[in-house]
Amino acid sequence: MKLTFELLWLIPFLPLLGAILNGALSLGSASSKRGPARGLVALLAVLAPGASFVITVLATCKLASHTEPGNTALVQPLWDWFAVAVPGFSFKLSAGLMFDHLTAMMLLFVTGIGTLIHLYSVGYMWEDRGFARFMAYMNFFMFSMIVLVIGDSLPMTFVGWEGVGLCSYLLIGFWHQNNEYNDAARKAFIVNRIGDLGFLLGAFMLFQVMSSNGQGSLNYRDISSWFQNFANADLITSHLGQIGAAGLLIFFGCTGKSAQIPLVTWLPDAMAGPTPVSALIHAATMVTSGVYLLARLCDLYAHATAPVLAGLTVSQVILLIGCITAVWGAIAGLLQVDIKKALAYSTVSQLGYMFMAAGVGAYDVALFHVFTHAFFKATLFLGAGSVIHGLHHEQDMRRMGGLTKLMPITHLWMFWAWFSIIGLPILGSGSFSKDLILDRLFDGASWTPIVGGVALATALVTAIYMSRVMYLTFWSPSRMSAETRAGVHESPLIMLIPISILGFGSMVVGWLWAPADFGVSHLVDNKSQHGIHFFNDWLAPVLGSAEHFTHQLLHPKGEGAAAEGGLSLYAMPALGSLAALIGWLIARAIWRGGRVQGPAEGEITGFSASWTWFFDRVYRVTVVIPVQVVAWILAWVVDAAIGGVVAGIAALARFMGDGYTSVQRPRLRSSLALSMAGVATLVAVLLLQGAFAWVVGLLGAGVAVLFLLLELFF
Amino acid sequence: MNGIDPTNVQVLAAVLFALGVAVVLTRRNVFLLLMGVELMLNAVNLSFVGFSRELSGNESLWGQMTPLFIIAIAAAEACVGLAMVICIVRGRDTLDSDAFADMKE
Repeated sequence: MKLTFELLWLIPFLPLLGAILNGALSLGSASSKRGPARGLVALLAVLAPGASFVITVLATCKLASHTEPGNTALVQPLWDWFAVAVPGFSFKLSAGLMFDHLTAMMLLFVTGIGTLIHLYSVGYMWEDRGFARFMAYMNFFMFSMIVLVIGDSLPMTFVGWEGVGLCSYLLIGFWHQNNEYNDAARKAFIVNRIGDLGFLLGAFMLFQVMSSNGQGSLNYRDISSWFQNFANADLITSHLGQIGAAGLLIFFGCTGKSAQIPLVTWLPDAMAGPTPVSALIHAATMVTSGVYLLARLCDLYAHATAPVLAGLTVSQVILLIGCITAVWGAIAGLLQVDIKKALAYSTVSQLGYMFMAAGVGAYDVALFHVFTHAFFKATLFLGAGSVIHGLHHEQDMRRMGGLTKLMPITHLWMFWAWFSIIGLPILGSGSFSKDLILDRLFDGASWTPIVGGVALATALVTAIYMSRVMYLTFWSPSRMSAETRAGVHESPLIMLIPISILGFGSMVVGWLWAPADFGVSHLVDNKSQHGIHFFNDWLAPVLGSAEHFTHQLLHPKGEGAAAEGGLSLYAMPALGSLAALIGWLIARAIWRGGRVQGPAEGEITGFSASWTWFFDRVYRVTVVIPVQVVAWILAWVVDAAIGGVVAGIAALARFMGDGYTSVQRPRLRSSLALSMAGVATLVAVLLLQGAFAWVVGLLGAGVAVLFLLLELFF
Repeated sequence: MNGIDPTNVQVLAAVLFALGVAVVLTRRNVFLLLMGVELMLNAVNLSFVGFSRELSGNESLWGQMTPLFIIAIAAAEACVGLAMVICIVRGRDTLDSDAFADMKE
């Protein structure tokens, strides 16, 4: 069912307006000594996404007030984008906005958390000369991200998809005086573009499959209804290979945006950007767009049941990639000394968890982890930013320690975010979503429980490396120099407010979906249903059909359907909490004393000390070096050959043209003007009839002869 | 969709073309010269697309495909042109097109 909502266009438009105005302010003040009017810039930059958030809430209320069954969405068609009509084929693409339950959930946290991070950025970037430019980029990022999730078709999403990639590039390289940062920005952009190619090819292939019965469309609602339509079942069966390939290609695009193996290398380098950027783009919103796209196309992935790569179906590929990335990110996180880098690898690892959930068809669980992760990871990043700010741009954890008393509020909310990410129960939202993922993995068929075991072990490693970050930063004796220690200060209120709200969010949002609710729902009423299911009930209209299909595939005889209830509900929370506890105790034993090697002489520190070296090396051998070899061949061999031929022709022309050069006009522009005049004369002769043609033609010829004579004799 | 008068499209294309010509004829910077040429090419593209809207079926398709070819060729042209200009500029240390007048000697 489609409803219209007239204000929908304002949600993306307001941040765009903010970006334009701030961009103008930035350009207008580029040469002034005082810089832009910071107060005005800050007001615009925070109000624009804030207003979007308010409208999103209004739209969500309107959507929630329609309770009839089926997939309800608010839509607003904007304009016809393009139309193709040739004999036998016609296709029209219209640009439009769609606001359904999935969009509502994504937009609420994108605009909500986004606004808070904008507020934080005002405090963090206030002193920077490029304040207005920074805010313009941030607002433009909000616009792109909103378009990505509110677009009603794959091309609309692609517009946002490219926009967030561009903003990521602009913001990573924001401090462009540092060439290393520029390299990191370019790396992010190029790696993302490689993934984008997969997105496009996958979309084309999907379109081709759907065109086989004349219903080709790129609109999301059309795509889901095409796959859900029983009349298309035979068609789907006969095109399984193509559907699988389309899914795989689109997933390749998702690995680029969400930094999964093989396109993982850009995210750790992306930490070159200012910390609010890392929080907004590289932890909370943009990197989750890959998971969003998988959920948006869940019907495609549910029906892609044929093996496409090494005997695995697309979903199994997603599951495996997610698992490998989660393990790899966690181990890499263990070895970082830069606080932001450690958090970056943690993001990579957590995104792996989301993809694992999507790989077993539990899209709502994947999105739930997106949702909780956005809260606790944003808190961690903003807290890390607060520490970096307080320590005057010190990012090396080996030179921190003992900050609990010096930065009490930052520490308080970092503590709760840590509590959440390692998976301690009840007051940590991460435990709810992570335990659900583990539950779905152990519930799956054949070898997915093995992946579940690996994921559980990874949860242990997660607890170790996150506790290590906390110990080295807060809970160990200080290793700061005396003058650094004297300069440490708690951050200003404008930075602490967003941290506090997000930190509090990371404590409580897990309760939106708590199958194992520790008896709370029984206290409220005595019904037989276990737990709180607000979150997945909300998403059911969009994802339910695909999840039902996958579930029937995994459990053809209907077993496992009634698995929820009883003691097994508490098995996963118990295991997850146990892993968290053990990991914490291990980290406590190792790093409580703050014994870490200080930075060695000449060691690369900061952001170039990367753990992506393996992938960087593979890409160097497989891509960069071949390109360089081809370039060398082109530069020396081919160039010499072509150069010889060209030089020969030139010599020939010079030889034959000798003598003619005397009538040449010396100046390029005047000879160009003459040839233009010649063309004009010709056209005039052709168009005009009779006497006029003769007159003009003779006139033109006369002028030309006159010029020639002038050239010859003067 | 059909709100634009086809004449206006052609007028716009002509104006763009004239701008390109003006740039080529009045500027001495070689890079601006190349930009002028580029502008002229794109004005022609616009003209093609404008006409193709008024036609139907395969003819319309030709009107859309020709600009695609022009765009591809223009990219190649820009590539070669820029490479040549860079070679010349390296040799003479100037961007002034009037300085490239050796044919006369």
